[in-house]
Amino acid sequence: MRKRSLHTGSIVSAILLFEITAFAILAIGSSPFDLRIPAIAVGAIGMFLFQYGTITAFFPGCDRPSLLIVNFLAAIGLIMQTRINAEYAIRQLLWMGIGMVGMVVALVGMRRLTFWRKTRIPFIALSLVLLAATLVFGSEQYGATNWIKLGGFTVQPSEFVKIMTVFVLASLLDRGKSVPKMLLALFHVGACMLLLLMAKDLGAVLLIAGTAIVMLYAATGSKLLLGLSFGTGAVGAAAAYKLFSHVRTRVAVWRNPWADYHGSGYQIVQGLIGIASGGLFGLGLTRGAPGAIPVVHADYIFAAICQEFGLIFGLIVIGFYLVFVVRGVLIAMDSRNSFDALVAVGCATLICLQSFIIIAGVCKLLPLTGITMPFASYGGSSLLSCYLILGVLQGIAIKNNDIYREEFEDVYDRLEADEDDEWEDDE
Amino acid sequence: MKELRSNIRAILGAFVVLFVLLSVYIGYTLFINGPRWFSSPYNPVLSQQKQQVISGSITDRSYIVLAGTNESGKRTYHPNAVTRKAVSHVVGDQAGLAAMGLETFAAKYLLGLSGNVFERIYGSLTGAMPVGDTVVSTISAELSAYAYNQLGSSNGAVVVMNYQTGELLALVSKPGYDQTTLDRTQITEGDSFLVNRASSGQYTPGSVFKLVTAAAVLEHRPDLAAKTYTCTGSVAYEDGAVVCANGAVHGELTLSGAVAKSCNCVFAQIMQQINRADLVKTAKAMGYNQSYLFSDLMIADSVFEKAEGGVNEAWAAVGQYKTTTSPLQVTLVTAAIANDGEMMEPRLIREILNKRGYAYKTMKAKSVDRVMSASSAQQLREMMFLAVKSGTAKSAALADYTVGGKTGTAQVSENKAKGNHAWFTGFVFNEQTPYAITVIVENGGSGGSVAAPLARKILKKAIDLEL
Repeated sequence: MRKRSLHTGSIVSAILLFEITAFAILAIGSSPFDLRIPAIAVGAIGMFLFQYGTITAFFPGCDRPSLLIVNFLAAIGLIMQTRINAEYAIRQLLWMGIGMVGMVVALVGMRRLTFWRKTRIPFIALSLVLLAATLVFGSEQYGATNWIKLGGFTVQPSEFVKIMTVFVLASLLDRGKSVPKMLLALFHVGACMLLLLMAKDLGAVLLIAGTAIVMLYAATGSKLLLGLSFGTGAVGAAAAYKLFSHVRTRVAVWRNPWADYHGSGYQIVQGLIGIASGGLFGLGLTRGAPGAIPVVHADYIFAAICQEFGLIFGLIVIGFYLVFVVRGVLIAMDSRNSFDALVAVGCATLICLQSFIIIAGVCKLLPLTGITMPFASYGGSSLLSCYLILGVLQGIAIKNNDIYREEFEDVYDRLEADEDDEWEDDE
Repeated sequence: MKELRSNIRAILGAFVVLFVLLSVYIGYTLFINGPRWFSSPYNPVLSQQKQQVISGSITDRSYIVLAGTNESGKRTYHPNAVTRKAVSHVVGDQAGLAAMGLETFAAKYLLGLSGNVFERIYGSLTGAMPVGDTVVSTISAELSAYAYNQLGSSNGAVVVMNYQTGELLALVSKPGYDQTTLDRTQITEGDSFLVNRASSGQYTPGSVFKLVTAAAVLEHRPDLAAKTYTCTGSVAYEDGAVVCANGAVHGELTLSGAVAKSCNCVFAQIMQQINRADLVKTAKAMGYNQSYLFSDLMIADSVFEKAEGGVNEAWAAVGQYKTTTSPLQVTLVTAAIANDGEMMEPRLIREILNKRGYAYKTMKAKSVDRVMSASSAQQLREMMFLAVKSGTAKSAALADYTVGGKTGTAQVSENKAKGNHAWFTGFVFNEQTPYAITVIVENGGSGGSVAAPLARKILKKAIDLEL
């Protein structure tokens, strides 16, 4: 493994400065003065520092760039939610706390526990039960039946099914590939996609299909299978277009949202207008009108970001997602066993495709499918699942580092004796 | 493990490509469509800004104010009612009822949103109400009002354009509307006075379309242009006959004579010999069946629908059947002919002045495309000169100037009492006064006797104004 160290201190300060400035602008702009805003700011900044401080202190082998990026994306999301409606931000902050706990659990679990390879049968069963239960007991929101009420909370099971799918596929595509294993993988992915399609959760369908194809290619490297799966995907998409009217509506609205401005095209049109209004440098925080875009705090947060912070900032956000994905893939390449590598690739793919699908949908490059923007969109289940993915990636990174340290222990000892405290600042 | 790593490396490459594509797409789509999306009447930011900014003025090309904001923040318009109506479709209305015009299309400038960041910050510190920029239009208020009056009691449209630069000197649509009395409550669905007939009207072109067909002949079958044809007054098909207007029999004619005399029968005979696909191709190059995205205005898509053989195919070639177009589109074709085959983008904005009156942005001429060869354009010009000299467009002739033109008389209804639409399109061939013009008088009668004399007067006025 290549050990890199960063001047992370200055990046931490930059994120802090960004958050403090943004929250100050929001607080000063609120009239009457909204006490919730400084409270959210203190909560957000405190949580960031505590999380970053403890993780880097307890797990020096963690991957700092991805950790910092996630904190930055979450901060932008929280700032926009505060700007749109502070109530959302407070709930989002709560879920961020839960997410961070989840991340640590996933991190430790990934690092210490060894049974993940054997979880495929329970995970397949759990996935199908959850999705079927959502179909039966779920409630419809924004045109998709993908929510289920548990006590006071609404949960979106598909968010967790996607992570389980990564584990199931990693264990099935790992060493000792056999026909029954491949068929089981096909069954799992097919059944999940069918159930999600019935729930009209097209974004999740696309995400799981894409992730499965990428993982299949990673494990086999077969161009034939790649072509075959893309072919099946195309046929499947055509069939879905023919069979389901809601798919046809999505495509029609994508082709010309202005034709039905007052109906189904409203959200897309307002999103495009929002992005275009921002120009290169944005209208400035609090100066836009993101409230006109439906679901702006969740799926459409990218339009709000572009409107108030500008296109350049929007492209930077896309760049951050790319860096996160690259870090995830590097973690996969550093892994010492193929199962870990596949899980890391799967996790990186989930974030990659999810951010791509929603941003491309908002910009009308692809038909819009309801899916959240990782770490930035409002939504408890979505945020928790993103933090779990981060935890899994960090766990694998730490594990890689553990092994590396064992192998080169004596070299390390000498280096550390020589340079002592300066280690963090070299290179 | 080694193989796995190399697969993963390939995946990483694909991810990077995916994100680069996404970024490039966003930049591209915003560059192309951004201004249009932003200027949409549905944009909440614009309505929000209108409350917080003193909107800038819209002036004509000689800085006569067509729309401004008075001390009490109310929008004011040109004092003369006829001028108000004549320029109404170009100016638009601030409430966005017509949802077209510069009030909407140039809102970015009028509301000062394009101004620099420092001025905005300075403004927000001093608390002064920001003032938008002034948009100087390319149109002439005087010429517009003159053309509006010339249309008399008829509805119709007049387009005058500088064919070298694409600047629109007049874009008149009658009836216009008066912004000072326009009332949201009076507007009902489908009110046609809000439609800019000059750019969004969808008319049957009739014989002015012959210019497109003649261009197709010159571009694809130049040998047919030299041949002589005989007009006997009608050409029979299995499902009907093509006849010349008013039972005329033109005798022996070449393509040039057929344009000058507007002979349907010769065009029908030529149409039997050229490839149908070639006509479709030329029509597309000239702007039919495509969607133009101009930065200053919206133009309705013109449609050329070829019929599959029979009499309708011949009618389509002379601008009847299902062909529709806008006066602006007709002007673009004429302007391209006058400009050696290069079509210029029609423009309504000349320059943008900041609040100190400094022109910080001057718009430049933009070419849409070369739509025909220079030699085809030259031959078409000769045909149009001939039409003015000895053909149907005689009454468009101007002393001391070389004028080329083409008339059209479009049948719009089986009902004879309703009258045909009278068309004229032409140009003054002169370096100092490079004007292309199109006139349509709805239900006005024959193009040669109604539209051509109007065009002559309007061109004369434009020359006198030294625009």
